[in-house]
Amino acid sequence: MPVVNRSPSMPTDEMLMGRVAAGDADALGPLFDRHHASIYALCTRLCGDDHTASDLVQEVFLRVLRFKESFRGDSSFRTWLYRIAHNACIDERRRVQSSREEALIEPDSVVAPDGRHDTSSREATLDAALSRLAPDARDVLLMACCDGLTYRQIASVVGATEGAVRVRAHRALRKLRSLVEKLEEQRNDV
Amino acid sequence: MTCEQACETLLDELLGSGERTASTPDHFESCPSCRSERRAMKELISRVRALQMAPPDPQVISAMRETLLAAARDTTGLGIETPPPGIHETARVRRTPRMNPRWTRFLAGGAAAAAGALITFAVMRSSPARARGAETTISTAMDTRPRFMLLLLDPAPSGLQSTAEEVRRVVAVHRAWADRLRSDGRLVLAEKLSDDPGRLLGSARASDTLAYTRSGDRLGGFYIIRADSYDDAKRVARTGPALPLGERIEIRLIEDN
Repeated sequence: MPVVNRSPSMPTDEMLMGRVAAGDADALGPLFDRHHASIYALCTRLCGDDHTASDLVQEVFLRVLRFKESFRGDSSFRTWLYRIAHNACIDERRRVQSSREEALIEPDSVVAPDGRHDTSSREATLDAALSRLAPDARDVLLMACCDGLTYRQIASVVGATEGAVRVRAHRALRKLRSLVEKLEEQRNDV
Repeated sequence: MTCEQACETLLDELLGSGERTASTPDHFESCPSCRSERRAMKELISRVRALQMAPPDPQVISAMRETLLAAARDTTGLGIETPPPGIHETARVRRTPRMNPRWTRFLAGGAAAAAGALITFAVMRSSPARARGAETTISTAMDTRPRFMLLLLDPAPSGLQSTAEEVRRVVAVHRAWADRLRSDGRLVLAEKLSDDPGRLLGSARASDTLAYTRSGDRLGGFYIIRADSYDDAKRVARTGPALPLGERIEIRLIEDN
């Protein structure tokens, strides 16, 4: 978890959230300012689309408002916010999946699950490999790699045990490595 | 320490959740295979961390902040519904936000739907801003950008009442947004559809059209705006009050001859 330097007089996230829960709407502003970028990054990584991520940032903070009284300080505000964001991403993926099913779109074995299929560059190869991981494994791996969350915090976000998260993260990383190697081999063969 | 144990510890270290044990460095120094594994995993994680992401549009973020704070002020006064605790409590919420019952029934319509979100359009039509809008409409007619229709879909009616104060708040946020669209030279037209049930002709499949969706949402009004593309239209729509107020927006490109 990144350390944020704040002056002693600056209220903590938890204090601000307490004020939001008590009806101080303006306290939401600093919380949004502090966290919208990381939530946007998380949603982009988990859903693979920056436009969707923008929608989800708004959705996440609306849920903060809606569920403000359910924040009891059992975990940090950031962990709680990530849990909301993760759930919003899961909902979005379900919605997309459901739309595809309704539209009777046949899965394409060549195209990655999220539609990305350009594996011409190294970055695109990695992107494609990530999109081939199981969503729950990818979520855990990305939160561990990119968001600096500990296993314990991720466990709280995804609703699993710390041990299960550790195993999932290790497996995901190994699987990712194997997929990247395979895709790079394929690319080199072409 | 075995190679397997060393690799497990390595992954914990790399993923930022483990503590380096004293024996780990020794093992990697003496084991070329594990050293190679460590190098490969480190490189892979660096690549994942370096994946490029487009930054959020500052204008969208700024508008979103403004809209959220407006929603917070409104909903704070109205007391948003709190769900039972649980890890997946938010999973029950659809993307379209569900506000508290009073807010929802206000938006949902019913006998007091005349006091619903779409009354905004009627207010816009009779407001001084409306007159200004007429001028803008003329100027936007010269605009060559594509026109997009934003169809506002209200949730299924609950038949419950809403208060005049709730009406006033929603009218204010819609009017402010319409004024902003006008001053940006984007607004072509905004109209409210009547709150009466309307008339439906044709086969039963017509109920699956925009006016009456399968989910029971109701087409209540529309904006026509100028935008460069669907993405641009989406960006504009996101800055408006409809989504935070629980409405859904269907965006359609108007085909020009």
